[in-house]
Amino acid sequence: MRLNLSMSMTNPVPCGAARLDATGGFDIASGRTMTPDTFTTQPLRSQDQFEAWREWHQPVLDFLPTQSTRYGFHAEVHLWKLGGLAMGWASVPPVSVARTRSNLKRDPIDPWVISYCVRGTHFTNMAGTAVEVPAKVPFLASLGQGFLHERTHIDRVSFLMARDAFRDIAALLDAA
Amino acid sequence: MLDTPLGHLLGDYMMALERHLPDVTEADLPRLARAVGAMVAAAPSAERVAFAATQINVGRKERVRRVIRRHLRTPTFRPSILCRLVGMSRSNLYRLFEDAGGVARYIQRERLLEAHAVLTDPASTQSLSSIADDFCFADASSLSRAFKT
Repeated sequence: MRLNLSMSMTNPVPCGAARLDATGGFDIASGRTMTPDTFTTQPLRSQDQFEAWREWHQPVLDFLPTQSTRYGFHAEVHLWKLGGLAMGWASVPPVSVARTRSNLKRDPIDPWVISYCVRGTHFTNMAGTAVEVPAKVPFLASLGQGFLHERTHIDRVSFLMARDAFRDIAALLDAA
Repeated sequence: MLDTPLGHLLGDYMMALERHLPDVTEADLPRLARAVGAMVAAAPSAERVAFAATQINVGRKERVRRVIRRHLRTPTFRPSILCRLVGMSRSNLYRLFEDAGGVARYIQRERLLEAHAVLTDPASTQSLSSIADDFCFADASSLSRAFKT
């Protein structure tokens, strides 16, 4: 199972799967409730948790191992796909995450990401500019650009906004 | 960073939306996307919004310029036709070309520049009246007068 960020306005909610899987979608069993993609490393052996987390995010993002990640990495993410918009909630231990040239090449998606950490700080380096983003301040980035984030333990909500779905505010988001 | 009052409101909105997502239905999704777009668009600072507006106008103006250049030799081409071709109102077009004295004046200036280029081209054998006709001037005298104004 992997992170799949394909988002489409023409087929806003992938149907046909009442279970949680990488395509996410609408719970057709009830027809009324949204069901997120969920991934947690909690049931895995401590030494396998980080690799599983890393694998789930490939090839979109690259999580960089540290001394501590080998001793356990209890992380969890829920991702609701809402057409050209997706919403995520995640709880992740301290870690560095990058969108490298290789990631950009292998999965050249470019939605905007707006992150809002309820808890935790991240230090980000994008296009040669370093910024410290404290908790409770929204941060806008594009997956179309490379970056390196170094994070403390974070609990965060995020929006992923497909360019095609938000064309009318594209210049504003690029300028922000 | 969206460290503005409306940026903080956006953060609160994201938290509230995450809590209420289980109640959202498929029918709500288009309106939800519009609401999120509006909240996000409100969050950047006024300076960034102004900068983005400039960028948007640069893009629009370039698109309109291309259409104008394609139609410099079309006798029926005038601002009202241009409005239809680019899907903009006359007042918006005027504002976009305000620094050139309005869109009609801009079209006239482009026609003059093209006519001048042909006139000064050593390889060109066209007469003044033929050039005037090509660039939609009533006659050679009108073209000459336009150069002087």
